[in-house]
Amino acid sequence: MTEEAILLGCLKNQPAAQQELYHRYSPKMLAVCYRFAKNREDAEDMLQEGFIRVFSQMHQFRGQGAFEGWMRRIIVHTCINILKKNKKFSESVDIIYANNIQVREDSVPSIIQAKQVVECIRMLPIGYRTVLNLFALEGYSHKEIANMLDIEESTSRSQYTRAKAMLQEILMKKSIILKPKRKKDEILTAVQYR
Amino acid sequence: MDRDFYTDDFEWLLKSKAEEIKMYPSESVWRNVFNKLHPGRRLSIISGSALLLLFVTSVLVLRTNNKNVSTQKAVIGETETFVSTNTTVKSDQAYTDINNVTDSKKNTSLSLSAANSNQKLFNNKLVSNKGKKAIDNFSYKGIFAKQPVSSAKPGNTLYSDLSSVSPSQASPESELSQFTLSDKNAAFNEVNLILLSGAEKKYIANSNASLIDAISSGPFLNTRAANKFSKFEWQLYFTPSLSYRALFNDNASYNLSFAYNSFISGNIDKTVNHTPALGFELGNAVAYSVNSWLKIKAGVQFNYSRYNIKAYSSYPELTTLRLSAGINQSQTLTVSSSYKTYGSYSNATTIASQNTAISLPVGVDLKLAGNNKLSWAIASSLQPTVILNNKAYIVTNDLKNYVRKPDVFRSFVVNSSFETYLRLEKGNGVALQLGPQLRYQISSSYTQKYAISEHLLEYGIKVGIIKRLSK
Repeated sequence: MTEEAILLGCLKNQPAAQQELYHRYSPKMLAVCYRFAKNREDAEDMLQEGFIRVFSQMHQFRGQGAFEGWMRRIIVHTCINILKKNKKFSESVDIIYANNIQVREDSVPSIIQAKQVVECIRMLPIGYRTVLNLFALEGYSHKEIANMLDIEESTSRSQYTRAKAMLQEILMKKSIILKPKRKKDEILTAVQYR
Repeated sequence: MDRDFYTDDFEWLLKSKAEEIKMYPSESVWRNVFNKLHPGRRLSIISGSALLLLFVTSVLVLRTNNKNVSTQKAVIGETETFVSTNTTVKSDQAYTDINNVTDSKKNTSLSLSAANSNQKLFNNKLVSNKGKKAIDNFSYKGIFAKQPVSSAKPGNTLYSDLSSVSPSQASPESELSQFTLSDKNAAFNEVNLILLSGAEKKYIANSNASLIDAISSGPFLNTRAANKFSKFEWQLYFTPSLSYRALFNDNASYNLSFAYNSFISGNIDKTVNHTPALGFELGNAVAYSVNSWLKIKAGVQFNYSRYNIKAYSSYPELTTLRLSAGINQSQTLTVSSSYKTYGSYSNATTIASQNTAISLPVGVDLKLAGNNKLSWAIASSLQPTVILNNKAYIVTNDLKNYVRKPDVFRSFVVNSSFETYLRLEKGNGVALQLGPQLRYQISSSYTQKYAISEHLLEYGIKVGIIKRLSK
């Protein structure tokens, strides 16, 4: 079944097409949700809500750009909306300085490759993690992030900087990435996979 | 903290690694998504089950009731016990004690008369099924009863304990007063007694004319049924109706301030063009008679309501619904609409705003006038209602578009109904009722946050069949 046929079927509210679309994209989208969520159950709730929105707003997809990108934006917005309902999230995302957050080395999971990176991202405080997810992984600008999270653009920038630094620290502690030994403008990212 | 990596490379690392991850959601996620997208399928199963339940209940009630009626015809204390007019009943239990009939009494002539020689107690025409066989096999005539009838009442009871009836008590007038119990077991192994029909009477007549003479000539009571019904009655009803709605704008100054025509502000009815359409109601209820003029009742019913909207087709366009989100705050929902409230004649079309619902009406009936045959009553009920399948349209705040936005519709509302009816008793506990009914949806179809409220109205003619339940 081509993507076009699936989309047409979804526009006609055909269950078979909707199921096909769901099965095609849900694994990727759940991974997206998982990076934002506290745990897998929350991620599945986000996915569920996100797909309902995708299907109900399908008629708004104009075919400009990839469907996956359009759907991903809806899923991400759904995740953010769900996170924003949590008061702790609103507070945490607005804290600029979080220097006292310690990373416990033993809490870094012993998983390999991609999963290592994702799990390390998930170890970040939720405010940091959200900004990092949106900026580095989803490609939103700081202005867009500021709008989405109802924070200042400068806050988004500083959150991102600190999030990235903390993530690097975590990754280095677990030797997922190597700490550079030479001058910083000469080094390239060194990645060591286990 | 010094940055040790090129930003792009680090971000590339994160992105590339994150994109490699795939996670497979549990099955329940898709089920929930599907149920949300196709509520009709799930709800039609519910409504189908409800209708099936309604049907099965109806059949069971009718069957049970019919059984009771036929059984009661046979049970002595319940129905047609034939006692001579002067009878004083010795016992208040119509109980034929088979155990007291000893073998020695098998050939005893027993009298079925009361203690008073004038008081003959007959079980007119009452002969058991097997008793009939007994008559056939053993050529005797008699009255057989096996089961104790606890509900028998004084004055309406078969003389109890055959064994205690001495021959001296026998009525000289009755040939029934003497008979031979040549086969006790055959005679008493009976569960039900039946009321003999004419044919059966004839059958016995052929067997023994004297018995029939006795039955026919005996000074029996007439066959008027005693009080055999309980205070409960069951009702099945159907109400074809004209469905319509009442629209109100709760905060006209706030929400309709940007209505596209100033002259229509404050009066939605001048902008929208709606017409009533046919709907119906089907349900059943059980009523309890508190006294002769007051009944309380409860039941379950299925409703289908709809009204027509004259709208104008247009290309899909985005429009907004504005919801109140607290004092001086609002929330907007962006939705797509293909129907406008205005347009050219060529684009005019009619769309139906409809829903199906299950209600649990609880109410009272008040008898105002009438007799045992015909009566006039009024009734009212409150009906907690679950909306099963909502295919309704909502007009946007600016009154320009119609949209379908189930999120704005309530799934639980409260209805009320008012009716007046004539009730005609058809005998045997069956009655018919007919009368007008007004059903009004007390709560708005839309959530409280929406400035416009819609209350559905249904004007119908309710037709019902009522069956009084047996004791």
